[in-house]
Amino acid sequence: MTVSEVDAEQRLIAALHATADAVHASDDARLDGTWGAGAWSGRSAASRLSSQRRLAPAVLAAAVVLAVAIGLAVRWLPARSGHRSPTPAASAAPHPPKSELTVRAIAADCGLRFSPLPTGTRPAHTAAEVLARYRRSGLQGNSAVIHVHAAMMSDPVARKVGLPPGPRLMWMIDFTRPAVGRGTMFHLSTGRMPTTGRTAPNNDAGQASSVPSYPPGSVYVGVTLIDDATLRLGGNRISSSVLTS
Amino acid sequence: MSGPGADDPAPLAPAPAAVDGFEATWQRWRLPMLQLATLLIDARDVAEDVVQDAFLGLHRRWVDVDNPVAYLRTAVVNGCRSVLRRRLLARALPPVSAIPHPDAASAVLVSEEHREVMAALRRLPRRQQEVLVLKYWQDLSDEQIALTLRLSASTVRATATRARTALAAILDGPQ
Repeated sequence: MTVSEVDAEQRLIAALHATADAVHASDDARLDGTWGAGAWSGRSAASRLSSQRRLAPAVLAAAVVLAVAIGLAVRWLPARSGHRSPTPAASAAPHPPKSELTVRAIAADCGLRFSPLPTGTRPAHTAAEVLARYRRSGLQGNSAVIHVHAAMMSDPVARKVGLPPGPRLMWMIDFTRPAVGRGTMFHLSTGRMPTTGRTAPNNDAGQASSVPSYPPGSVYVGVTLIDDATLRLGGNRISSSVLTS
Repeated sequence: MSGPGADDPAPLAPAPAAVDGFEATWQRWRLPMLQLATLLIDARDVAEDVVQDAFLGLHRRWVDVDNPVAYLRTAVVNGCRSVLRRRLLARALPPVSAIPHPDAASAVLVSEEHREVMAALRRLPRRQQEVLVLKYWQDLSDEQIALTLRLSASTVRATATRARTALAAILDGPQ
C-alpha cells in the first residue's frame, strides 16, 4: 500500500467508527422502548411493514398473528415470573431522581466535568428558550424533563460537535426515560455507582441472559447539552446505569 | 478498534419456541446491524426499515436458521442493495450524499472531516463500499466477507485493494 492508501485507510476507519458511534448515540436519544434498544415488538413490526405495503397479504396475516402471540407472551410471561414489565414507565411513573444524582451519574459515565456558574454570570438565553430549542430538536421522545439549568461545562468529546472542550456555559436538560431490557443498575437508595460503563458491542455477545432485568419503574438518566451562546446541541448523553428506587 | 462482527458468537442456542432466544438476538444485534445499514446507505430511517425487515425475516425463519448473525448480516446487506437499486431507478431522488441526515443528534456528532471521508466512500462502486465497510468496521475476514456477499475470497481481496486505491485517489484529489 502507498502512503496515501494507508492514510485513506486510517481516515476511513476513523470515519466509520465515528459514524457508527453517532448512530449509537442518536439511537439512545430515540430510545422509545419499542423500536429502540429495548424489547422486540412483533406487533410494531407488522404495523410498520404493513404501512409500507411490501408484504403479501398471507405473510402479513401470519406476521400479525405472530405479533399478537409475541405481544401476549411479552406482556404475560414477565408478570408471571416477576420480571420487568414492558409497559412504558409512563404508567408506572418512577420517583424523579434528584438532579444532583442525575448529573453525577451522567458525569461518571460520560466524563463530563461541570461547575456552578461564577457569581455574576448571566446566560444569554433563558431556560424557556432552551427548552423550546430542545423540543424542536426532536430528541425528547418519551423522556420526562426533570431539571433545566446552566453550568460551566467541560466535555472531552465537545470537539465532535464543533464546540471547545474547555469550560463553557452550557445548558443541561436532565431527563429520565423508561428503561427496558437488562443492564447495570444504579441504586438510588444506597447511592452506589455501577462499576462498569457502557459495553462495546463486542463485549456483550451472549451475555444478555446473565444480566438482571430492570425492575418496573426503572429509568435511564440522561442529559442533553445545549450551548448557551449559540443554542447548538452539544450532545445527548444517556447513562448506561439505571435509577431504581 | 474492532467492530462488532469480528468474533461472531457460535450460532445461538436454537430455542425456536422461545421468545427469549430471538429477543436476546434482537437486543444484542439490533444496534450493530443498524450501524451497518446506516454506513451502507447513509439514511437512518431507511436503515431502520432495512434492519426491521431483516429481523422479521429472521423471525419467520428462526427454526431453520443456524447462524442468526450471518443471516442478519446478509439480509441487511441485501436490503441495502435493494434500497440503493430503488434509488437508482428513482432518478428524481437526490444522490445519496446529498440527502440531509435526518437525525439531529447524529448530525452534530459526526465531524466535517468524517463526513468528507464518508462522502468519498459513497462515490465508490457499491461492492467496494460493502467490502470496505465489512472489512474496516465489522472487522470481518476476507472469508466472512465472501460468505456475506456471495463472492470468492480472492474477489474480496482484489475488490478491497481496488477500493483502497480509489478511496485514496478521491481523498487526495481536488474536492
